[in-house]
Amino acid sequence: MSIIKTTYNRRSFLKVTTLSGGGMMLGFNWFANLVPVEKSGKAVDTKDWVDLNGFIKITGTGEVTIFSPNPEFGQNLMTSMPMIVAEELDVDWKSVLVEQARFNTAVYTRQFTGGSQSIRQGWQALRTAGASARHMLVQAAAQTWQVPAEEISTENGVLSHKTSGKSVTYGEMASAAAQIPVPKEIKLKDTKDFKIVGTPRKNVEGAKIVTGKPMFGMDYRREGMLIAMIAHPPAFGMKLKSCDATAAKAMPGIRDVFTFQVLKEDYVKEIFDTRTFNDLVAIVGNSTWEVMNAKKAMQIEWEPIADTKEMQNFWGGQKREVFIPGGLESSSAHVRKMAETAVTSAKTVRKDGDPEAAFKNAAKIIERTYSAPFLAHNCMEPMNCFAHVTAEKAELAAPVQAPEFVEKTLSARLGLPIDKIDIHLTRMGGGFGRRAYG
Amino acid sequence: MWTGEKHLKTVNFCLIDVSNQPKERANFERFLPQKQNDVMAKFNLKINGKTRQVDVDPDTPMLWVLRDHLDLQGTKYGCGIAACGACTVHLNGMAMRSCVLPVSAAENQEITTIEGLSENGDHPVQKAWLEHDVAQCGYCQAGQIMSAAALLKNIPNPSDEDIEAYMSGNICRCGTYTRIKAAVKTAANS
Repeated sequence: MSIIKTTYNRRSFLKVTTLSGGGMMLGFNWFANLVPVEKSGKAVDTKDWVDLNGFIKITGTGEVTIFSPNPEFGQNLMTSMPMIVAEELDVDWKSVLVEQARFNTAVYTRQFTGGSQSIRQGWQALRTAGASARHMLVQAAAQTWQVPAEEISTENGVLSHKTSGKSVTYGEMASAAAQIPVPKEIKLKDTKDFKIVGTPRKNVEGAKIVTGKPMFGMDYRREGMLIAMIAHPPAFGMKLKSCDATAAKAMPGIRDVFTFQVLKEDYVKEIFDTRTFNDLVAIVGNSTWEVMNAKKAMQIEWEPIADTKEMQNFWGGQKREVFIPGGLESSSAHVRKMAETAVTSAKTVRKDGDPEAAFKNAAKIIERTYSAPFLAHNCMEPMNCFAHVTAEKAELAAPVQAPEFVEKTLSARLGLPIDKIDIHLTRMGGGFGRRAYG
Repeated sequence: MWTGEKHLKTVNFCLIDVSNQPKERANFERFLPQKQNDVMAKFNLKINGKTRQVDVDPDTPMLWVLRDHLDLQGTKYGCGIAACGACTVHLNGMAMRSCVLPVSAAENQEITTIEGLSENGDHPVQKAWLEHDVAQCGYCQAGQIMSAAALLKNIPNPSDEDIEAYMSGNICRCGTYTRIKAAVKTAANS
């Protein structure tokens, strides 16, 4: 059993409030770094909500909802992360509802899915949140029943006191629990007592998937929306040379055709800004099929790019010059470059034992060269996004792994402050890192 | 808009599409579009047991009629060239790639989409999919389920080879193939 301090950065990790209509809402940070701190810090005020990105809601009727802040692309963190909360909370997993939280940098932090970090980074914070909510429910029951808290046990969302035979559901005790001070430190379960974590649980969105419910970016609909498709060059290393939209514009259902720059010329790219194609053509129309046909009718010439150097922001705020070689990128060029690199002397990063001696003494040495082609992080769901942009604000519904980065890039591109950009997170039809790039 | 070149291209894709489904190949000719004009036309469609009317270009693939005009977004767009299977629907009970099936060829025929496979999401294939927790991202699964349901209608007790052959046109980028095969077997035995 481990004891975790529930403060970090000298502020409380947890914030509790009463739900209108009864019940409790416990806010916490999905990825808080809960290193124990010496100083207990100042009193909690509402600005601490800024650091919260996860919520446990227990209504008066006993409905338990866990809001999942991070975008979902099939790695099932919408299932696995709430499981960790439910474990410490001691609720029946079958009764837990999971909802995709809205993307909101004013409220949440680190709404990013990628790098296989979700469980590793969320583990302690999620457990602490679940355990804290359980602790407050137990304290509320102890006060109500006038019995020692240690004598109260919890299981499947029910609080019980064996000696008196009293028992009550979490829902019935939730409003009272919201009045209990947030604990300063909390005991976590012994891992050997886990009932949910370590067991296979099914995808919480499974039923929606097998019945074809609209949930992906491609499924997003808004009254009056138009369809736009982008004409890309046929290969990496090409840019727009000329574009004739006369035929396409005359086709049925077509509203407009225009060329545009994805990013402004003087913009310094962030690490997840794609720099592959900057000059593109958009075809806009009433329906997908009409736009697809018009795209085929476009007369577009592409030309190879020249050698380019540009500045790019990397992790930790450092800027680096990036060299982009001119000409078409091709698999044969990759193979050639690999062959060139293979004959140059390598840097030893790690060496275990004595491989030279092992080769020397080997009875037989087998040498083979294997190669694999460029493997694209293609997703089954094509890249897509709903956008409604006005002079005042931008509203998006997008299947993206890194909405925080998208928002930042959009802010620079559109000249809109971050708080005027609203991104609705949809389920992603695959991500694989491709959807981390804007 | 129905140019000769495009016509050939579509036929080619469709033949690839049904190559593992010999029963469908024999009936294939009747699915080819008869109209060759570019004006909008009204079509009476039988979708999930209901009659729906749309006024569209006769070339429009059923996929876009379903998604754009009839607000049935369960059928997914993956490639648009019958190469991925995400858009699979049933046409008279047979699995068809709706992205290359012109609306003009589907008139007055029974079309079933994932939304209409069962009333309450309890078709044996859907139940087996949940039992095996097949989906990861889930985007291809409507197409996988429609293909599996058509397979079991043709071959109620498929062998591993039958499953592999029939389901080979449905791609899953997450790689759920092992569970798909297990779920098809469970559905066959239910």
